[in-house]
Amino acid sequence: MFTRASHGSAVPKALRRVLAGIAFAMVGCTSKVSTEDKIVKSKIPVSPLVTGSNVTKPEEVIPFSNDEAFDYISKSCGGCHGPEGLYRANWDVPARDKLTVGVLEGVAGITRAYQAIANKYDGNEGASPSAMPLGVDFVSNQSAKTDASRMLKWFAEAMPTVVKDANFLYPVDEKSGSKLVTTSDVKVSLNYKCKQVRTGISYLTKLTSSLYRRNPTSEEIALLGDEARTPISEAKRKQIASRIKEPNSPSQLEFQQVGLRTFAQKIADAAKINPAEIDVAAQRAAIQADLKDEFYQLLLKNYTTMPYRDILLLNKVMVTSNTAPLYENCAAPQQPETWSECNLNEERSNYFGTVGYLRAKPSSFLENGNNYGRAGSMFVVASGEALLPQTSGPVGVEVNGLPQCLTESTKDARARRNKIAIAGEDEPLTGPYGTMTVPGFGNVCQGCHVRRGLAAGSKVYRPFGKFGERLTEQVIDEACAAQTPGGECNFNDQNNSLYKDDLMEATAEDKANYVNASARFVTAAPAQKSRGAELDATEAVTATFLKSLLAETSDGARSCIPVDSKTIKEVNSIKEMSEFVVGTNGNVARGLARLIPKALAGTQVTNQEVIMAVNKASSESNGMLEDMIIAYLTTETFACQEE
Amino acid sequence: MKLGQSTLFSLAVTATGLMLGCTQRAPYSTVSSGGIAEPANKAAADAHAKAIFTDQSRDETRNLVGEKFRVKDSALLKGTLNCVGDDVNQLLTVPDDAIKTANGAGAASPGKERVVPFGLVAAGTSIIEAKKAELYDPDAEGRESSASPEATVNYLNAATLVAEVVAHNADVSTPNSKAYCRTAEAAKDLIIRCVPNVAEDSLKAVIGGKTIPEKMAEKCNEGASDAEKDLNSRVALASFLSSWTFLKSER
Repeated sequence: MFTRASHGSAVPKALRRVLAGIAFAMVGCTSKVSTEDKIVKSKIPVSPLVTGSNVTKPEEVIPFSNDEAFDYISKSCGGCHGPEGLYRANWDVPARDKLTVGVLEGVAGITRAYQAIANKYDGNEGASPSAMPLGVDFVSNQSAKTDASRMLKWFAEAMPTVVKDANFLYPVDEKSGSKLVTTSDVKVSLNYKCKQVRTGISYLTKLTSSLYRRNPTSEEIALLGDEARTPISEAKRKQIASRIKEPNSPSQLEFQQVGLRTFAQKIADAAKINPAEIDVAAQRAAIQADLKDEFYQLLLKNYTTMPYRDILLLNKVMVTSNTAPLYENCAAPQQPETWSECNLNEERSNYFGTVGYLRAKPSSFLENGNNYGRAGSMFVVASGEALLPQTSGPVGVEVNGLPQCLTESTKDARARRNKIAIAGEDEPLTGPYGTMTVPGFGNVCQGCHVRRGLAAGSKVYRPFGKFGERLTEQVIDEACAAQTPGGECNFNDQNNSLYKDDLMEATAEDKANYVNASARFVTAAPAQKSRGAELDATEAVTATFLKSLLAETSDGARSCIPVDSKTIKEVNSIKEMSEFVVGTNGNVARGLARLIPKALAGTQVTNQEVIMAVNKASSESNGMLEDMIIAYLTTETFACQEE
Repeated sequence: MKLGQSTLFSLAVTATGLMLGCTQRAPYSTVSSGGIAEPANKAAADAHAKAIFTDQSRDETRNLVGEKFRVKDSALLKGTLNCVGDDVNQLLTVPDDAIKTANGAGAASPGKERVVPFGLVAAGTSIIEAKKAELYDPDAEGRESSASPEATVNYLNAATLVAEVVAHNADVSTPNSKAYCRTAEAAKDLIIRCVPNVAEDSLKAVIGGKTIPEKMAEKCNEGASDAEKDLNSRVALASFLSSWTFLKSER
């Protein structure tokens, strides 16, 4: 353990705050989750009231209504974290009139906010995140404690995945507080009930709008029978939704052309695939268009015969004559504008190594992003969880050491120089972006960079460039354009490398690397302050150094992702990491319960009914995508009439 | 069937849309009996759009601007326009005679108006493709986001323009055409075709002595000549297609 901040420094306090802000420019994240807000209020027995040694009947906590919850957030949190507050950076509470469940789901820090209230409710004042709201004594003010419990209950019912993610991100053994944290007495509500189910015609219109982007036909309307103008039954919903599974039927064909494509392009983030400079100019648009459909074509070929999970991990890619040359040893189809299947090499492994996937998150290890986005996107695809940057970690806390398998897998400990660092007080580098430095600078960063594998992922994806191509030392040499081997780079106008600017930024004078990184960031490494009067040694980031980082990708040193406090998963390739992240059919189904509504119904929300329905369909069908889509379309949630 | 708040509201806006045909339809002002439209006026269009969303009761307004309010995005809008004609691409293509001239002096074709502002798009362009961004382009949405299309003034202006072009191109004079609306039965069929889930009661409800389809038919049939009837049919059709009843998304 070592401390990142110090006390009694000669550096002015205001300046320290600035530096601290820079230091946390890239740290940590939280997961973005969502749930439906149409939930009938329920009274669920929670924590037994303990009186001496007697246990009385369970106390009933009635969750806040949405309006009450938004009022609570606005009043209890908004004063400091709201639009006019001083601490917006910690989490940014929207104005009261903007607050909805959907809006809150998009707010970075909502999971921490929940945990802060949970810590307060639990009486765990020393925990991280700090117990909130501040300045309220729950012992003397039972009304405030009741409100907090109702707020927590609301979270559990309206945003259950926030609660789940908080439990994942803030397990007991990761608390930095002095007390053990007790679990809050909140449970996820499973008794979702729609208030008003749509009529048959209304349901059908929503279904055809979602799947086919059109109104229902008269033939489809006729299927409704006497349910056209009455609330549609589950049996009828299933009958209509299941038509997408009838082999070679018009419904199936139209689903394949429209709904499946909409879904696939959403998962593939096709909107983010842009024309690439590396391609021949005349072909850029065509390549871009084909890459947007790359994942769709893979799904189209396999979704009726193979579990969705297996498709994600399949070592195949679909190519056209435009995109085949982007892959190693891949033959183009004979006919133009047709698709053929191609085997991916070991390095690319599966969908997560395809050019389409990589170009949707353009990045390279030469940039500060360091491929974290590509690693993080695995979680979005696999389990629907967007890892959001959390750039406001607490200052002055001790930082846990990193797993040895991580520190020994790389020497990437890059960061910016702290030019005013004081020996014995400060770190010589700040603004971390290297594989080890980001998680090494704050515990909150480790939530994603260690436990969610972003650090390991940065090494796994290091062989690939921003265009999804294989990076080689030659690319760096060309970008450097040095006159002599190992000499100074020439970033002049004659240097036309597509990586010139990246290399120039990567090797800028303000960038450096810790020399003793492995020892420095490993578990129980001594703090800078206790290491005496000399700053830790650093080295310049040069083209030669960067080539040595690139060479690490084939040196066999395996990186890792801690599964829990006792288990570590070693990963050294896209294949190994994606298999770990994608996990089981069940994990994928959990993600699809978020992604299917998002892709097809255009909604950011899901709920327990959808999660359970999709999971059940996954279990019964061994993870077939079409069955999970049918399950979603059959839910009362999908059939519910919006108020 | 009990009329819910949203049904009532849909009804009200439908009626508003139909009435606009003879009074304040955006982007035009009054259409004279000679069928000459006054120049487009963006301020009027904005005012029209705002009026739709502010003239309602407080609850209805909350329905419109709240989290549940969504309009059709460009793909869904395009996908539902076959309710007024089989060839949607033809309906959406901006013809020469729909574009205003630089000085506003160009005469319109009989029974039609110049509805597209000068310089906005070239003839032959699909109006939906040209206004895709304002109409919410689902293909532009990323993996981690999902647009919840709101009825902004920009959206409504763009949707109104789409409605104008479609109405301009539609066959409103042939009795068995999908866009024909000069009888109550034809108007009712058109509304149901475009909004299959419209509440039956809302089509039977009598406002000012007439049902909505009757009112629409009356407007479509107004005029002494075929050209005038065509023009008024297009006015009514455009008003309907740019109303909340049609634009509301069920997705």
